[in-house]
Amino acid sequence: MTDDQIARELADYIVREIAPTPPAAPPGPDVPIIEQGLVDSLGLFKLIAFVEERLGVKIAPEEIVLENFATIAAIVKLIQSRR
Amino acid sequence: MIFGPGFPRSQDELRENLFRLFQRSFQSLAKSGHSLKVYRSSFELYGRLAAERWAQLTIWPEETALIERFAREAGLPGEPQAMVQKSLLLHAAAATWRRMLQGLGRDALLRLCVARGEEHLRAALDAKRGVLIAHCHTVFAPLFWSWLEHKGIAPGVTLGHWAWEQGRKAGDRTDPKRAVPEMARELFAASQTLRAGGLAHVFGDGVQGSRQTEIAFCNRRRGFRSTFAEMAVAADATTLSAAVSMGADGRMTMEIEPSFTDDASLPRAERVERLVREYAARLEKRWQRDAAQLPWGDMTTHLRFPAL
Repeated sequence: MTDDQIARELADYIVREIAPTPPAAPPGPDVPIIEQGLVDSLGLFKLIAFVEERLGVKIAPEEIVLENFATIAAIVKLIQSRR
Repeated sequence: MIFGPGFPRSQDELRENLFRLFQRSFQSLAKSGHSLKVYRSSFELYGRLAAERWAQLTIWPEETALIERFAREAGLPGEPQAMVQKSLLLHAAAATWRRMLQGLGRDALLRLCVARGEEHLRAALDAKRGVLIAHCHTVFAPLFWSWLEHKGIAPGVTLGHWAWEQGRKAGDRTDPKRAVPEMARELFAASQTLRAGGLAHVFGDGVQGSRQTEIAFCNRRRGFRSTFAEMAVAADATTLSAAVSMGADGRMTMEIEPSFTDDASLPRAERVERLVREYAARLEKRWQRDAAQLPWGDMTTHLRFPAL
């Protein structure tokens, strides 16, 4: 799966399952999803479960930090670094 | 102050100063280890004071107004004045004794506690499916963890705990850049604990966060967070509810209610919503039985929700 495909899957999942109020358009790769309130703590927990199940990447508790999940681009970078 | 600078300007001020003196004396006894000798007497004294209208209006004017408004607008049964008295007593007692109670040894604490429904918790833990306790905020709620410890039950993970650790700033809890990853790590740890058959705790009546189910509750359209239900469903854990009540005589009751109804064959979202609604129904009954146990902050929060 390419970076773009992963980014699109994550953005769609955020819109479909996580964002409290679905945004007009899926968030772009550099949108600060936590700061903008698109992803709260429970949303982040679900997003990690999605990454593990859908993409087969295990996330360790110590990796759950802002720099790895601040944007979709950061999450893609984390996923690719673990592959 | 009667025992400090200045002279009391009125009889009410003199009485208030005497109350503060008593409270400080009780608090210093609580720290010195001679506390239990005056524990019951302090409840009696606080109870008598809280029943006096002058004390309500002099020592606790804003709190009295809040409790009266809350009792009226939440549509709770019983005399508002009875709730005012008990709420003032419990808050004065909590400010004096809560820390001391948390530090008590096993025998001393268990002498002051009655547990109702302990068998529900034991049975759920024995089933090794993971047990999630959905708590509610009461003035003496932290004593539940002391009780667990003295009963030899591993407390497991408590969600939201990081925010209250020493050294945390109040702003940390509201800054999403700090709070979201911290809470997600806790959810992760709780999820692992539940999957391993352990125990996790969540306060189901918290109101922070964006994902909420709106429910008609005590004359308000109130949002309930679904975190506890999402966790329970994700880990397929048993959900119980629990609360700590303090009596006017200083004796506590740990109340653990039977497990929630859950049907694993239903879609996830429906299971979550059912658990949240059952929690709200249990909480409403609890408030109707004894809302004086609520912290004042929770009364204020409830009144901020739109009226039905």
